[in-house]
Amino acid sequence: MALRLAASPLALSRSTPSLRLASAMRSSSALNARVYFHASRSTASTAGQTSDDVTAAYQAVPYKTITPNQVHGSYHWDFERLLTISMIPLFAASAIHGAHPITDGLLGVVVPIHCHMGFDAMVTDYLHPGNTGKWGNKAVVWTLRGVTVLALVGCYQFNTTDIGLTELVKRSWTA
Amino acid sequence: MFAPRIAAPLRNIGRVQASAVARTAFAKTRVMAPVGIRILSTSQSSLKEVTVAPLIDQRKNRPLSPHLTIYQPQLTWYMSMFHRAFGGAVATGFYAGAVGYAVAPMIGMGFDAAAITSLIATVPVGAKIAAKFIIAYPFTFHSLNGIRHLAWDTTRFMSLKGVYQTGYVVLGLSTVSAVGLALI
Repeated sequence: MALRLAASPLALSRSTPSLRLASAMRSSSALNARVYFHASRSTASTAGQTSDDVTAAYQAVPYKTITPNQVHGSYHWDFERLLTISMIPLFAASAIHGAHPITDGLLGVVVPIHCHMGFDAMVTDYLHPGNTGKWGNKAVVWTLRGVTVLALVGCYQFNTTDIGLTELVKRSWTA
Repeated sequence: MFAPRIAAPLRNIGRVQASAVARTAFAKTRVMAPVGIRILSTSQSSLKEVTVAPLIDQRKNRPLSPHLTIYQPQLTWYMSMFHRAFGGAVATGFYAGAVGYAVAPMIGMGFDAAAITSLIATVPVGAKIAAKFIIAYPFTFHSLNGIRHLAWDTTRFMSLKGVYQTGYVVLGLSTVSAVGLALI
């Protein structure tokens, strides 16, 4: 049982330089186990590789994992509904009792926040990153936040330095 | 029988010696790679800017299928649409007033309660009643429909009958109260 060991080191010494180079490349490529067109079954079995390892190598890389945020989800919903419910007695008190610093102060905070949440829902529905792009949506959202802050400031200034929100509505409605 | 499986370029053994430069260039691109491996890539670009960008540009030029214009008008989605539209309108007016009051001193514009009330006093009575109705109706509709929404959040009136009955109540009450407010 004489094995043909043409690529063995013993045989190489007797071949021509060019053939030596060729056989050296052939043997080195087999040892490196480079995949040309399909995985070599012999190298896989000798390296202890199973089909699970092959499939694991092709697992899709997760794009982004989002950590749960309490600000989103049901807490946001609860806050929105509580705010809306509070507006009913607030408007009723404003209409029945008239101007009062506490009523006007609360209105100057609750109404802008309620408006902001409504505008935010509209931005989420109509001006999302899908049609405005990532930065377009960011610009709109931050502009809305800035405008809401300005509205809060304006309401505070009007309630403190001017007649107040309830009195304004009463006077301008009956002007 | 078949020629030995050696790297292809080595079949040139015995040919005339090429120049040194040509030989090194040849060696870099040919000799060090056995048969079966591509040296130069023939695959297309995988960059998103090259492959996906033309598709996005195509989408921008395509028309949108009709949606709001072809769906049967129903109380449900009409009232939902007006709830959002009127809410946005009233909020825009409120924001304009509040933000205007905040930034008026910076622009030098005289914007305070006295200026507003005196400006409104100059408007004719008929126009005032019409304007008050136009301002009041979105407010009353949004408020009463908002209460209807809150009722749904407590799982009340969640049937088709409940939705339609409460819907008609909101429509009637909002119109009556807006007319009442306009006549104050």
